[in-house]
Amino acid sequence: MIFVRLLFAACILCEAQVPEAGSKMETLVDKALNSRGREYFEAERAYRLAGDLSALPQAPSATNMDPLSALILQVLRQWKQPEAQEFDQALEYLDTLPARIANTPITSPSPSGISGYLSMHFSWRVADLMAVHLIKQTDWPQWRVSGVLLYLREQARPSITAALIRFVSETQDKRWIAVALDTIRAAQDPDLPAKVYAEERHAATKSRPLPPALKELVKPR
Amino acid sequence: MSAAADRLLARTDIAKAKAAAAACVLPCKSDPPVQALDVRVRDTFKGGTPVPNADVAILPAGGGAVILTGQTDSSGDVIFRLPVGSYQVTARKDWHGPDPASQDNVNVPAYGFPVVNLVLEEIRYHLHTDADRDGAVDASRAGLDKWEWGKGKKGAIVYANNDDDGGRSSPDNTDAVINTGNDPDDIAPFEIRRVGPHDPPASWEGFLEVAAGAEQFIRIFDSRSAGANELIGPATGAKFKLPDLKFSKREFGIEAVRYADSTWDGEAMLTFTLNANGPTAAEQAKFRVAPWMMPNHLDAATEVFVVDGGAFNSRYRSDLNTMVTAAGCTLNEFASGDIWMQDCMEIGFSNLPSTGMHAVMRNPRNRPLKVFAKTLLKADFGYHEQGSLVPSSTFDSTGNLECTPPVKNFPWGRIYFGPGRVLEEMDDETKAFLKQQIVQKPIEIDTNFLAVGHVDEIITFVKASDRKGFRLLLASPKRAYTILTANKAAHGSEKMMIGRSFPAGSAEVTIKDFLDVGVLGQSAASIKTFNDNAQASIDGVRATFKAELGLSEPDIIDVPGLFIPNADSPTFADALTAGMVNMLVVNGHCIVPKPFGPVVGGKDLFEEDLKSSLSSLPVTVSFLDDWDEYHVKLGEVHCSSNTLRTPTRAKWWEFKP
Repeated sequence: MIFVRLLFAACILCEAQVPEAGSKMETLVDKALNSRGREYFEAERAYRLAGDLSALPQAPSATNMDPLSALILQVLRQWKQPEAQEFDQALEYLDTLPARIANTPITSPSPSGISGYLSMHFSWRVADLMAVHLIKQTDWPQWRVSGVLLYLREQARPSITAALIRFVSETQDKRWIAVALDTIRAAQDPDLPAKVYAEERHAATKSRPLPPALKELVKPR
Repeated sequence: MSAAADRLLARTDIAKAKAAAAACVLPCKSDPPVQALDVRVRDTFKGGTPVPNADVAILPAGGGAVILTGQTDSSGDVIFRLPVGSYQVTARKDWHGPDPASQDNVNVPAYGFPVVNLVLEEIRYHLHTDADRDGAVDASRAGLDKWEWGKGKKGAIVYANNDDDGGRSSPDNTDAVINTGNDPDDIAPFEIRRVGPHDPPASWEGFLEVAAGAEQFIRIFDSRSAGANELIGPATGAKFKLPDLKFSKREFGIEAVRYADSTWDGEAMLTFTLNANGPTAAEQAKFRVAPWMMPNHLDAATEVFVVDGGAFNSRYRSDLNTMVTAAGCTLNEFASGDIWMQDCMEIGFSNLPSTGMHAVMRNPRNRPLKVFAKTLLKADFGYHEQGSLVPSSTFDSTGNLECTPPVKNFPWGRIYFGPGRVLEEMDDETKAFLKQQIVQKPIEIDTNFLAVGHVDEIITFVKASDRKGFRLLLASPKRAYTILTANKAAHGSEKMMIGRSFPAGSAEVTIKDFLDVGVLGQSAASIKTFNDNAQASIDGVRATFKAELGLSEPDIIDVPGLFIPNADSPTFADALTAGMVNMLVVNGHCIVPKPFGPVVGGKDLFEEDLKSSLSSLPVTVSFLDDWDEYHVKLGEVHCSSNTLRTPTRAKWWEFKP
C-alpha cells in the first residue's frame, strides 16, 4: 500500500495536481484498493463522480504494483472511458433483474442467463469490472456471484485472473472455486505464476495458506 | 448311563440291600440301607414332554448347601442315590421357568425309591410383524430380518405418518404420542409374543432397539392406541428396556418420522433382545417406510387449486371454474400475490396395505405460496417439506416435477423433472428424496433451453384408448413452422397473435411478416434459428422419453408452439404463442392455453391442429385465454393451477426395482 501511495504521490507531482484534489483522490484510491463491500462501492462511485484519470498511477503493468491493485486501478480508469456507459448498463441489468422476474415463475435469476445476457450485450468489455466487483462485494446473493462467475468463464482473459485468484483464495464454495479455476486455466495468462505468487504473499499477510488448487495452477508439468 | 438303566439298577440294589437286611439275625452287622430318588422333569405346556438336560440339585430340606447334582437325560429323568433323609429337590434350565422348579421336604426312607415330578416350562418371546403385508401381524416369523421387494416377498411396512388426525395443525409424526381420531390406523403394528403359559422369572429383561441414529427416522410407541407414548424415537433414543415381561402378547406401534431421503434409505432394523438371567437371544425385524408417490395426469381429479389474485385474474378464474366444473372437479381459490399455484407444491400419496392417504410436498421455493401446502394438512392428508427454501432455483418449482402414466415395469409411472443448469441445479435433497422413493424412478429431462426451465412448458400426457393407454404431447416449433409455411402463400396476410402484446410491444403480425420480417424486434431469421435450436432440444426430450418409456412415434403428438428469446436471459426460450402443451388435464378434459396462433377463416390454425391431433382420443379440448394473466409472465394454465387427484391404491411393495 505504501508503494501505491508513493506512486500516487509521484503522479501528483508529475501531473501537478491541486493538493486538495490530490489528497481526496488519494483517499478514494486508497479506499478502492483496500476496502470491500459498501465502502469500496462508495469509493468507486465517488471516484466516478469526482475522479481525475490523471490522478491514477499510469500503466500499472509497468510498475511492480501487485496484479490485483493494477486491475482495480484499471477498472477505475475505465470508469472514465466511454465503456463506462456499458458498465452502468451491465450493473443496472444485474441490479434490476430480481424485480424484473418477480412476477414470473422464475424464482431466482439464472446464472447461465446472466452470463448469456452479459456476453451477448457487452462481450468481454465488462469483464474487468465484474471481476473486481466479484471480489469487492460482500453481500451479493448467490445467483449474482454465480452469474458473474459464469460470465467471466465465458469471457476468460488474462486481465481478470488476479481477481479470480483472490476469489479462489477466499471463497469456501467448492462449485464456485471449480468455475473460477476453470476460468483461470482458460485465460491462458502468461503472468499467471507471478499473480499466484503475489496472492501467496497476500495470503501470508493474512496468516492463511494459499489454497493447494492455486499452487497446482503454476506447478511445472 | 441312562436314567432308565440307572432306575433299574437302583431298584435292584435296593431290593438286594433290603433282602440282605431282612436276612440278618439280630444281633447282626449289616450294610447301611440303600435308597434312591427318581427325579422326573416335564414340560406340561408341551403335553408333559420330558425336559432333557435340566440341572437338578439335591439340597437339605429347607435349603442349604447342595448335596448332589445331576442332569436329566433325554427322558427328562435323573436318578440319585441318597442317604435316608428329607431333601429339597430343584431343577432349572435356560429359557425355562420357574427358575428353579422346586419341591421341598422330599422324604427318602430306608430302602425307598420315591419319585419327584418337577415341571419346567419353556418360555420364549418372539417378534412378529406384518411381514407378508396383508395388514395383520403374522404368526410366521420367517424372514423378518429382510426386506424384499416383489409379490409374495416379505418385509414390514411403516407409514410416514404426516397427516393431522389429531387436529394439531402439525403432522402427527412430529410429536411423541399417538394422536386422536384415526391416527392409530396410521400406526403399523408389531408384537412381542410369548411361547409358554407363565410369566418368566422377574430377573429376565427385554429390550427393543434400533441402530444408533435410526431413532431419528422411526418412532415406536407403547401401543397403537390414542395417547400411546414414544418408547424409541427422536425424543427418547434408540433403546428401550421393557418394564416387565408379564404378558403373553404385547402390541406396539411404529411410524416413520420421514420418508426415505438423502439422509435415510427408508429401512430400519428393529432388534428385540431377551436377557434370560444369563443366556441372551436376539431377533430382528426390518421395516421400510412407504414411499411418497406422485399421481399422473390420467388419474382421476377431484379438486383444482388456483390463486385468487383479485381483479387481476377474476375473468380467468371464472372461465377456469366453468371448465373445471365441467370436468367434474371443484375449483378451490386461495388469495395470494404469488400466482404460480403449480409451482408451490406437489400433491402425492402414500399407502400401507391397510390404509392410504394423500400427502402434499412443500418444495424448496421461497415465494409467498410456500405457506399454501400446509393449509391442506388435515386428517388423512399429510404434509412434508423437502429441501431448504434458500437458496432455490426455478428448477425447484413443481411445475418442473411431473409423473408419466404407467408404463412397462413402472405401474405407477415415472417421475420426471429438469435437473437444472450449472450453478442453478434442482435442489440436491429433493432430487435424492425423489430417487429414494424408488417405485417411480425419476427421469431427468433437459429443459435447460427454457428460461423458466419447467417440464410442463413442453411436455404433457393425455389418455388414449389404444397403444400404451396414453399419448405424450410435446411442444413443437417445427410443427408450428410447418403450419405457418403451408399457409404463407394462400393466407400470408392473415394475422397471428391478434391483439396480443408483450411488455416489449405488440405481438400482432401477419403470417408472411412473421416468416419474412420477424416480430418484437427480432428478425425472422433469428427467430427461426432460435426455434430450430428449441426444436433440437425438444427432440432430445423426445429421444429420452422414447428410450425411458419404450415409446415409438405413434405414441407422440407434436403440438405447435413458437418460442422467442427471453429478454433477460436471451440464450433461453420463452413461449411466444401461448404454450398449448402447458395445459391442465383433468378427468380427460384438456384445458388448453389459447395459443393465439395464425387465424385463417376465423379459425386458429394451432388450435385446429391440436384438436385434430386429439380427435381420436377419449378427451375433450377447451381453450382458455391466459395471455394477459399468465402467458406474458412466462406461465400458462398449468402453471396457474394445481390438482388433487385420487390415485389407485398401490401395492408398491410388489414393485421390482
